[in-house]
This record gives sequence, structure tokens and C-alpha cells, in this order.
Amino acid sequence: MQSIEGQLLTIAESWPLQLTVQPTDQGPPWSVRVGDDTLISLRGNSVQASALRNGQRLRASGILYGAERLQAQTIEVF
Amino acid sequence: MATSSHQSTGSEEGTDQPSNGDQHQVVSGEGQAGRDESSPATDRVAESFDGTGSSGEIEAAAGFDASRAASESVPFQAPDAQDELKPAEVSAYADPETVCGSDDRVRISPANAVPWRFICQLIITMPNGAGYRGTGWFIGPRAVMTAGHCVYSRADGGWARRIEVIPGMDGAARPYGSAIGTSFRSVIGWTKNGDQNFDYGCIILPTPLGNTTGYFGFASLSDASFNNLLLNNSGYAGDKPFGTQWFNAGRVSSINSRKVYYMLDTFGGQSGSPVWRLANGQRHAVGIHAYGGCPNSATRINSEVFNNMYAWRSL
Repeated sequence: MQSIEGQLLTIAESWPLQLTVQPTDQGPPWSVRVGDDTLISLRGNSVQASALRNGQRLRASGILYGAERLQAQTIEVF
Repeated sequence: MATSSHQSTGSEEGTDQPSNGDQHQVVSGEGQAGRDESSPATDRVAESFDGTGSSGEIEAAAGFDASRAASESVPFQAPDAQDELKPAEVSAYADPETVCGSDDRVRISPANAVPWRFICQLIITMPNGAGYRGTGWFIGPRAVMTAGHCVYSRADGGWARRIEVIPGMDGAARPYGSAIGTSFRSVIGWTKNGDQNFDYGCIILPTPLGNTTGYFGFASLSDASFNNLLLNNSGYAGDKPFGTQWFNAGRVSSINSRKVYYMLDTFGGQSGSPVWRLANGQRHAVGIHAYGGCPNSATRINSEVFNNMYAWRSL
């Protein structure tokens, strides 16, 4: 399980969604895939992917599938 | 003209590295043409074809509240007022259950009438085996327009391995069957640089299925023509039953030379869907939907995009 924390830059609207996340600790942006089985919470409340917005700060956890590429299992939006 | 292309047995993308101003430059050697300014002073149009079968208007879609969509808007911001949108503040997310405001998308069923049959469910297989769903739309007999990230994903190994194109899909119904695309086009602003301002592409089908379904016209509009323009959008949303098409409409909220922003409700799976103007019975796509996040956004069909699309529609 790998985690990344950062700011949501873009939401490419294929399905699964493809998020671009700029890590808080700098480095290159990450590509984060969000699908049917991704659990998303906003300030502790479970929400749907439609609650994601550009500029949000979030922590995504899941499985790496390449360098800076994450299949998200959970996303916490702060 | 500024394209890169991929065919399963054909040319790979070129290796030229463009400057920021040349991201539409040809790298495949296909479709050479001159360049124009991005934002034209006057409108340019390529007409639609209905197949064998102002400030804009909203399509007639059963159950859709057109009067609300026409009145529900944010003040239009011309390019001088806003070149790029800033990230939204956290305080704007007070209602997390919404799409952009209230979700007033309506299902299009059946989807075998004009213009819905121009619009296609895409089932995408990337080189690493990753599967995605997206939306495309016919612009010519064999040319299906979509987002660049539907045909090329750097994170998944590059050009799609194959894309199944299903026009007018409505649940289990496939009124025009389907076709498999393995020949793709995009521009190096997307394939090389991953710049969302250049996120558009095209699927070239082996058969002229668009002669049966018909296809959208498209237009490169002047900035002035976008002022308070009513936009239509329909695509295959991933939060709805598989293969169902969903429509929404509303006013443009802002533009710049390469993007169109709006608060129309969209969702994952609608990437690549058409954003079009209906005026005097004529439909012209003016953008290629690609990004959510409220405001949602499309790649604007500016003169450079128009030129590429004009070449692709004849392939």
C-alpha cells in the first residue's frame, strides 16, 4: 500500500477517472486512478467521486502500477 | 497541421520536440496545412450531416428542464478578464453530493435519433491492459473525435491498443453495431507534453460507419460568439448504468484561447464528448469535453484544432 498527499490539479473524465496530483513534498505530479471500488471521504463523510474538485488537498492510498502512478483504494479530501 | 498519429501497423509518433507555440505541429507527416490564429475574429464552420436516417438553443431532450438550464449560470468571463481559472477554494465544496450544483442530467433513450446517434460509447484498452470508458462523436465517415487522453495515455504506456466504438448505444441496444479502432490521431502538445490545453484526439475507423449514423459539424467561434452561449453536451457517464447516454446543457461560464469552461453536469466516462451549439437547426461542436472539477472544461475548437479536425474528417 502506497500513499501520496498533495493538491488535486486536474480530473480527466474518462472512467475510471484519472487525477493529476501534485505531491506536497514536490517532485513530479502523480497520476491517480479512481474507479468504482475507490472509497472517497470528505472531512470524514463518505462521498462520491463527483465531489472531487480542482484545488482540493487530498491523501490517496492504493496500489502502485508504475512510477508516480497509483490505483486508489481510498481518497481522503481535507 | 499539428498532428501525431498512431496506427497499429503504421507510423509511430515523431520525435520532434515543439516549442510551446508549435504544439499542433505535424510529427507524423500527415495532413500538412498552414496555421491560423487560435482565436479567430470570425466564425469558421464545417457542416454536419444527418446520415441516412444566435446564442444557441438547447436540444429537445425528454425530461430536461431547459428553462432552468438557460437561466442557471454564472456571469460570462471573457478572456481578458480571466486567462486561467484559479483552483477553487475548499469552502466551495459545502455540498459534496452535487455534480456542479444540482444534478439535472437526463438519460437519452433511445439514442438512435439525431444528434444522439452521432455520439459513441468508447471501450478503451491501453497498452498495459488498463481499461477505460470514454465518449466519442463522429465528425466524418470514419473519424470519431474524442479526448486526447482517450487515445493516448502516458501513464498507461502510450497509444491505446484498441478502442471499441459503439454509436447510439442505449443499455443493451447497439442500433448501429460497433467498430474497432486501432488507428489514432492526436497532437504532440498532448502526446509529448501532456498539456491539457491540447487534450484532443481522433479515432480513424476501418469502415465508414459515420455514413450510416451521420456526424456533427464543428466550428471555430470567435470570442464574441461565446458570450453567454448555450452549450449542449451528451455522453456516456460512468456513474450511470453501462452504455447509457446522458444529456445536460447550460451557458458557457468562461473561455480562453484554448479552453471552454462551463458548469454543465458531467462525470467520468464523458471525456471526449461533444460540446455543441444548436442554432437555427444547425449543430456545430465547439469543444471536446475532457475535464471535471467544477467548472468543467473542454478543449476549445480554435482554428488550429479546427484545421486538424477538418483534415481528420476526410481520412
